[in-house]
Amino acid sequence: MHRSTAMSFKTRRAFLAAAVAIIALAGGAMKASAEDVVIGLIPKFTSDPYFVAADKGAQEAAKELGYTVEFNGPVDANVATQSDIIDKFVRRRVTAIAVSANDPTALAPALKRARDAGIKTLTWDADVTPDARSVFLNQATFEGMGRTFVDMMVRSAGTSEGDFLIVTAVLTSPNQNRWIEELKKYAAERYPKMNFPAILPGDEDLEKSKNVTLNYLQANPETKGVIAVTGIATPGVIEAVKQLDMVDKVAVTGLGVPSLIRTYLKDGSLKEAALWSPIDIGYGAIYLAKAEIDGTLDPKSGSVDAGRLGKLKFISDDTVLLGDPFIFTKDNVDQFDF
Amino acid sequence: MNARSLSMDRFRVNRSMVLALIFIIQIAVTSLLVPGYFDIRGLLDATRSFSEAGLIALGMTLVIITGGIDLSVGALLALVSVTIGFSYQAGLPLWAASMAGVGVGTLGGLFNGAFITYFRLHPLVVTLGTFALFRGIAYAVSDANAVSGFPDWFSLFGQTTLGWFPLQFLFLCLFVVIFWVVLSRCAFGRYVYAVGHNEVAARFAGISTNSVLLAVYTLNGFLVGLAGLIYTSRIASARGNAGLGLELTVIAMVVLGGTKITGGSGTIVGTMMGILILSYLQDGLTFAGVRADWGLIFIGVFLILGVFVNQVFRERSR
Repeated sequence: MHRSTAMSFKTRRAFLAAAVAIIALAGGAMKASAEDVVIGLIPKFTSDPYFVAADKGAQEAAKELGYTVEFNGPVDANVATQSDIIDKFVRRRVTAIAVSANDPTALAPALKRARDAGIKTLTWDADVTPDARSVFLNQATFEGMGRTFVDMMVRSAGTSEGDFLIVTAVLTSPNQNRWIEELKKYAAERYPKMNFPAILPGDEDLEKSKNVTLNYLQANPETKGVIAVTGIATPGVIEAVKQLDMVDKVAVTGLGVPSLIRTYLKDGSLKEAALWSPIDIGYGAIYLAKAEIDGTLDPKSGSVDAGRLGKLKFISDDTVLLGDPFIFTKDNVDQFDF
Repeated sequence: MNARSLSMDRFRVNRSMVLALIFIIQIAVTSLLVPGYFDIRGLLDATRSFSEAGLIALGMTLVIITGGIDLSVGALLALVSVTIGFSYQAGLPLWAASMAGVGVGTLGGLFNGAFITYFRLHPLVVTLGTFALFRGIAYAVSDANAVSGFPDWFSLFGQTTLGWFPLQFLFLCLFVVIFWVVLSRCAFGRYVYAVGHNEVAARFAGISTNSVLLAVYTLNGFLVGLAGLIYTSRIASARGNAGLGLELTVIAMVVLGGTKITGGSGTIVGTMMGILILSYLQDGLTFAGVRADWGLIFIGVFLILGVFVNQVFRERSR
């Protein structure tokens, strides 16, 4: 009799200890600390320096916030694999999933399953249908790119008067056409004496971009500058200008992919070229996820805090803009290896 | 003869048991190493990602037992998916478009089979040709575009669960049973083995080997059709690059399951184990956060080991 009371007392103490432990555990689970936050970052594919750079930025943000960021994606741009990886992150019960989608609709079912499981979903770099994610981090607007092209040209040429050539991809490229439209609009408002007499297609080919520029500049030697609005055209245009020995007469700027323009920035034949920084997209995506996790993501406030990037603006109810395009110069180009 | 086939049978069971054991160990080890991995519901959820490949692996088992191969399955899956998507976009009702897709898959298989049997061409060459042909048509028809925006009911095939079971996995299980019965309990199954053992002898034994081969490739095409339907429903879109590299996954599953690549032997139970082992290896690696590119290396090593072990088994049985 006496012994059994002692036992029950002991048992009760054990129960109490267990209960305390359970409550502590439950409390811990409910109020997730920063160390428990795991974000699945999914690129279109892992084997591209562009996305490796995005991961670099994301890891930087994760370090600042005490988060864990797991970077995983298909080896090729396989959309079914992306969908599988989302499903696996859901089973892992990660806190948030941030994806650059290979297909706007194909990932929607998996992302909706993630949302149903209470996981925050967002997109960066390439969006999905709006009902499958809360917010999209857009790297650049057409207007921002157009404005930047014009401003860079005026700085590089040292003048805003005269004729300027535009070299594009193909005449039907949707992105390029929107950029050209915006850059003409901005130039017309800001620099009315800036003329764009010709838009020539380089067919996304370095040699072809070089040849069309060569022919045009030989016929129109008074041209003040050339804006190349696609990455592969920029080095082609510069090669043409160099071959004609017109580096000091004809300024070149435009869309720049660091690996393609590094040497020209270094030798001075190109002063500035713009794109966005993939490092910053990755970094920004993690801060956007943080705002969602903390519940501070509010379109009405107009912006989101994004660490060293400052405040990122909402450009619509569910789209946040990374900021102005990133301008590569000889001083910063070595930070990028894509 | 009787005694020999009996011992063959026992050996077959043994090998599948070894594979089953490997599978259990594999799940146990992954569960121990990766916190949160062991979760029945999650493991069942993972079947969603491999049910399509699994279905095709059943047909591929028959193909390989006859001594053939079908490299065109991934390309054919894309063609099926594009058929469904684009005929729906062109105004066909979705149920009809779905049936057209399965039909195209079946015809694709029939096409392979016809060339292999009536022109006596090697399956490797024929299906290498259709590998490019089917994919080419899929790209040309879709013009690098994708079709999406299917009605809600279409999510039935690829996004529905019955309890904890994704519907397509139940589908796969059903076909495993059917194929097991066909291959080990029906005359047709014996013909398939006979053709793989020695086609000439089979012909002299009165088996219409051409019909058997034609049926096997057509059946495989039909399964690709079903898989394509499930795939299109699962990712809710149709595009020409669907199923890239799928043929390699499928053949790997079959070979890992113990089917002899030169034909004549193989079992559905073995293939089922091959499907499970390979798929859950992939699943465990991704779950553990191993990058997909490193995952490929693991899977390659595992496959070579698996084939090696199978070979050892085979030699000991001699």
